[in-house]
Amino acid sequence: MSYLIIDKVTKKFDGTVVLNEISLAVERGELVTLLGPSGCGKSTLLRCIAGLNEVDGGRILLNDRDITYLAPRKRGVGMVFQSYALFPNMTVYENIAFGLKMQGLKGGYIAARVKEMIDLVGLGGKEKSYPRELSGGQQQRVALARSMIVEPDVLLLDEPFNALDAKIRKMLQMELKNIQKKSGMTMIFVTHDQEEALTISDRIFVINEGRVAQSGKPLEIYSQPASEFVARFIGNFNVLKGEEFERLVGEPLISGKSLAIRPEVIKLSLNGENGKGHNGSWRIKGKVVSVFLKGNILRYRVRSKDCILDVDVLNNSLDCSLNYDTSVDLVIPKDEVKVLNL
Amino acid sequence: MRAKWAHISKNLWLTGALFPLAVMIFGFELLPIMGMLIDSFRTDDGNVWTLGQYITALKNPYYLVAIKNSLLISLLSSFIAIVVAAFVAYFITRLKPKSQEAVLTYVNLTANFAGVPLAFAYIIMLGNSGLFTILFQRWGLDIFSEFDLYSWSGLVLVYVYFQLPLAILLLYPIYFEIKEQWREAAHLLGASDMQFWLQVGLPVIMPGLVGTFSILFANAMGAYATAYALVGSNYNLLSVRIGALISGDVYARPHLASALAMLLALSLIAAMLTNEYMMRRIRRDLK
Repeated sequence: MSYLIIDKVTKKFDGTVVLNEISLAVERGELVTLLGPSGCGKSTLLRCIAGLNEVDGGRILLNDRDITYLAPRKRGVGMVFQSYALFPNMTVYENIAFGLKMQGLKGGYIAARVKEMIDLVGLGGKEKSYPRELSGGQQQRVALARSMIVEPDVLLLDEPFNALDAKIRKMLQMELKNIQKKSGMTMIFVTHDQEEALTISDRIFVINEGRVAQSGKPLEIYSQPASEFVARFIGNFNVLKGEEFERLVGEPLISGKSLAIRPEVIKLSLNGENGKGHNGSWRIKGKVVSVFLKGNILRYRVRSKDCILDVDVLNNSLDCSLNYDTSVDLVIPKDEVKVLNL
Repeated sequence: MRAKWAHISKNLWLTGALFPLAVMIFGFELLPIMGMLIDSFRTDDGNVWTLGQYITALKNPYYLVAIKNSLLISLLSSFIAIVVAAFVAYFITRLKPKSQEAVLTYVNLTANFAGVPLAFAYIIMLGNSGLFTILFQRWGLDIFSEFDLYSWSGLVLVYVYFQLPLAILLLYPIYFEIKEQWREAAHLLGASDMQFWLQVGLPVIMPGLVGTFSILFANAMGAYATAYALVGSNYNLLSVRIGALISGDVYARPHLASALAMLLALSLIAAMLTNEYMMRRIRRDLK
């Protein structure tokens, strides 16, 4: 039996269904991510697990206990909020110690545990600072330490790095992953950022319209999207209707279904270069419509036979020379074309 | 150079815009206070410098009682008002927005109902021949048989009446400082509602409570019309004594009135400083 079981949970707000009989299971010690666009219900699910929103149907089982209707403080669930939710009138030390103090534990034990947590999140020397004296990243570490110190059965993290700049965010993602591995704590992380989910998760649940659209390991989700929604949301896939793809490659394929191709598997070259495609690939001609610089990646938008394809290539000087209207050849490996069933 | 001129011109314009306010503060605040301060150190004929007025004010039992009564009624009415208002204002914030608006409009209305009209309203309702006094007598209910509107308890009731709406209006916005997620975080960390309020809620709104208490205290200390209309000179209050010394009910002693007024101002400053000190003890993060 799984450690955390969400069993057909339904939640409505003013008659609008936000969670639609959603079911999922999390194992002990896993870091799973609920990934989905804004409004898909991922934060609502987190709040239902925490008991901050009552469910309209279904069950939530944690560590063999039915916690569906328990008060938040009796669930054994911790939560890190997007806005940190640190108590402004308390120092870093007092914020972190709060949970243990509420349990009526003794000062000496509390001091030792707080020191442990402060060391774990790397906030040594900041014990006497107030939240307003800390940066966003430091505040988020305090929030993490405050939630972890009470050793909850499961720790929920609601888009905790959203308000941070990209550099700090990436650093904290790595730190969170390390802390989770060290502590072995079960964590559920909510985000709408695909890259973040792929980076930190043991498993990902892609949520759409209050249901799990797909679940699996990050690589599985990224390379084997089960539906058009997942393909578009997770990896900027090129999604083409069967008819469009047949027109593009000039071969009859599977009409009535959609196909997805990752931008980075398409090889791009100037017309006539690098010979022909082989049996394992299709070679098609097109023209560059636009170029987007994405750091170490260049994304070319190429038009071919009234279809638009995105192609990602490593950013080097040769590729930079491909400007608008340049004629190019695209090579699409056959085994990289995914047929979408939904 | 041009930027410097633009800066100077902007500053001049701003200074000019503030000039009427400066004139008003100087003419209607500072000058009278300075006049009072000087007068308070003069003899009754105004010719000789003296500490005599303060000695009289602080030695004469009559004025000492007035100071004590004023302090007591101000502290008591402010305390009752702030405690009741703290709950009422909180419950208003839990109402639906439209209901909040309606309740606040009503509170606003009552907050502006003070002075002689308020005293008159209470006399009509709860005076010796007041509507409710007679009505309850006829019904055989002796609820008001022990109650005397023209006594200390009557005065406290009326003071609380005009303090309460003001307190509610001042306290209402401070509850919005408490973020819902603080409460949620506290509950998830094992805190009960009471523990949340004691550890987080109250300390967060403490500056607002302290500030409101100072305003209520000042409001009560300076209240004159309501008290005078209700009890006249029958009850010994500082503001009523100052009024009497200026208008010359028995004989005019404006210099003594000035000394009493300065003592009243000092009590307000002392109250504000005490509140400030207490607040800083509780909210160390605001240092």
